[in-house]
Amino acid sequence: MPEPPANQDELERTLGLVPALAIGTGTMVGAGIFVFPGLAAGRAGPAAMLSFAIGAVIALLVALPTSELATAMPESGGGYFFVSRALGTLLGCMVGIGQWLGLIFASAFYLIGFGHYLSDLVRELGINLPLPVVGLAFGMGILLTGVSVTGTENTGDLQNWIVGSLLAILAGFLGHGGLDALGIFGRSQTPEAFFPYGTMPVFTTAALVFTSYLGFVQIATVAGEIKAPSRNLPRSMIGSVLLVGTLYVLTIFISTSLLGSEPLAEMGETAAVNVGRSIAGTFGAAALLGGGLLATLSSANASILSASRSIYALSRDDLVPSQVERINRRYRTPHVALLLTGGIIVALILFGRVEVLAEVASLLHLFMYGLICVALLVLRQSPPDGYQPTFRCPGHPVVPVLGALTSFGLVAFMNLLSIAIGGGILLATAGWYLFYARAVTISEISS
Amino acid sequence: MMDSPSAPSSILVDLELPEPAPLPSALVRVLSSLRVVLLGWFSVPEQTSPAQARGQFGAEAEDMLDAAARRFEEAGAEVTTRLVFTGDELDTISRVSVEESCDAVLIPGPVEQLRRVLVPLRGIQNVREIAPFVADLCQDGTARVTLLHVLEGDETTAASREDVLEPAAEMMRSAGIKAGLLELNSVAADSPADAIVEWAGEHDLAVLGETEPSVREVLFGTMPEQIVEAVNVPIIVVRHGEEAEIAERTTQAD
Repeated sequence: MPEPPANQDELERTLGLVPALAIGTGTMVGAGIFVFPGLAAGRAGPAAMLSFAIGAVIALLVALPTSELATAMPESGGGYFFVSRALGTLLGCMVGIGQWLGLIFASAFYLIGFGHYLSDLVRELGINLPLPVVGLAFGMGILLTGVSVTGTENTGDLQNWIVGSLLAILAGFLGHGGLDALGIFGRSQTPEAFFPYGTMPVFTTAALVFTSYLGFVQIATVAGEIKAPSRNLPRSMIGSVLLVGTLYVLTIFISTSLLGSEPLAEMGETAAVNVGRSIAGTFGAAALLGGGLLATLSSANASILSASRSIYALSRDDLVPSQVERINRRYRTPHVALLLTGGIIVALILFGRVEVLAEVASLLHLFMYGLICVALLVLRQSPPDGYQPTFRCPGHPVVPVLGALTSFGLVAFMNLLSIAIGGGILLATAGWYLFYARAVTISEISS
Repeated sequence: MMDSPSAPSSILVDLELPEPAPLPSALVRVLSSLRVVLLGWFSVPEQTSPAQARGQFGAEAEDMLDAAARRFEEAGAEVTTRLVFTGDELDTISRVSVEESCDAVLIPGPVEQLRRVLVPLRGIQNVREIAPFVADLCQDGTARVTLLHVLEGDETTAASREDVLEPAAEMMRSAGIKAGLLELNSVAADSPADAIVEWAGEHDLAVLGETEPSVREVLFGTMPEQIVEAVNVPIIVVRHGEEAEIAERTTQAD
């Protein structure tokens, strides 16, 4: 790496390819497999497979441009950094605050998923306690925030371990379940139309489940800490999307083949547990219950950490008050940012509408994704000094144009309440810029 | 080796910031004949971006590091400082030791003065690297150097003298250590670590070769943890550094 810093203080790059993949996969895998199958099948039937595939295609169309930008600007900050440098401070501010709030909505969504799994566990254990899902999620939200402020043990290894064991559990079940679903073991199928509810729900479901693909850009937000970024950034972003996309489509295929869409829909957020039961009995149910707890928790945790980091990029550029980035001397954590993040998360949990939380999270991210693609088009058109990506997005300009169109287009299929909330938030971020940060000018790309 | 009188051997001394463990004056004095690469590291948890920590604590950490560097300079050492904000200090220490081509890495311990240095040997392999380092360390020519060979398997004392200790002593002498200061010993022990710990008790400082264990292992604490924990003297691990040296030698040959 040609970077002898002018200033002798150095920042260590500590994340290799596997940890980077684990950040992306760990953030994403919680939702698509463990929360959405029931909801998605209930809306679109077996065609929910297509919904997940649409999500994967959009994510890939964005991951390619993001990879180019991230190798050109391998600095922490991710989408905010690219958009603010290419498209100006207003859009940068909207994207930055939008991403922060998007992660907050996503985290609240994952925590409610966790609450469903925990309450399922309590029920499976035969304990008869009236534990409301929202209460469990709320408690876990507070606990997780506390741990993120005070925890000095790195959970990176734990995260790798969780992702590894999840993938092992899933590979086992998907392998066996897949053969089962294809009729290899002679089980009677649940014959069902592919589009039981028509084609429109395929798109609205794609909009709903897109939350399952929010993790890959988080890799770009820690680009400053990734070793050999020109090689590891594109591989980890594209690789994690392909990996989870495949898992999601397989999960829906197997779930709908084995149990049928309507029963899945009735099982709601924890439908995966029953899929496990139908494949491997009590052991299967227990494995997927445990997997669901781990996956939703790891996604929530990863989102909280990314959220507090994404706001740091904003405060570095003076777009939010600098107090937000204060680091606690004792724990060396950005306690203000983490508490602010955690506080909004638990408030959102009380609001409690899973589908709206998921869609608003997706909407705020899709806004950023679309603008990342536009940023690439602008930078390719007139590359500034110092713009030297080591990975070049293939299929330019078709890929970024399609990426932008599909990202913005998917929003149209969300429900009106989500669009209203998401749109309101984006307007508010524009308002924040006008009233707080209008005078701010930010530095050029070449650092 | 490419030791010229103008380039003394170098040692990496790491310092945790912003609250470094105290560096005893005697230790600073003992290392003063070397080039000291003073690596200040500030560990950052994963919740925090290293850049963010640098923004808030950079100036303070630099001051601490400069203060420590001044003490080495006043004692007569040539000092290079590096300050790194890191999520993984072991990665940082290994990387910097390679980048600065440090000959050795210090694991601090209490010391008063340098009268007796223990050099445990497992074989002859890395004496070539250890000898010039020990010669630079004991530059004033007063410290006694004990070469200790721990016998392996059914190795005899005679064989140990002939195959390991004598050739090692020869290399030490040609590196500049007076013959009269060298003491050769071989011992049989079930556990080399225990033998080293026992002998270290009678010495002021121990110099180990890296072949086994590696610097990373010493710092991480696998097998030599017993040594590091149990020994009450500073330990210096002389790096193997073959890649770095081969690269240097070839560029110099050009």
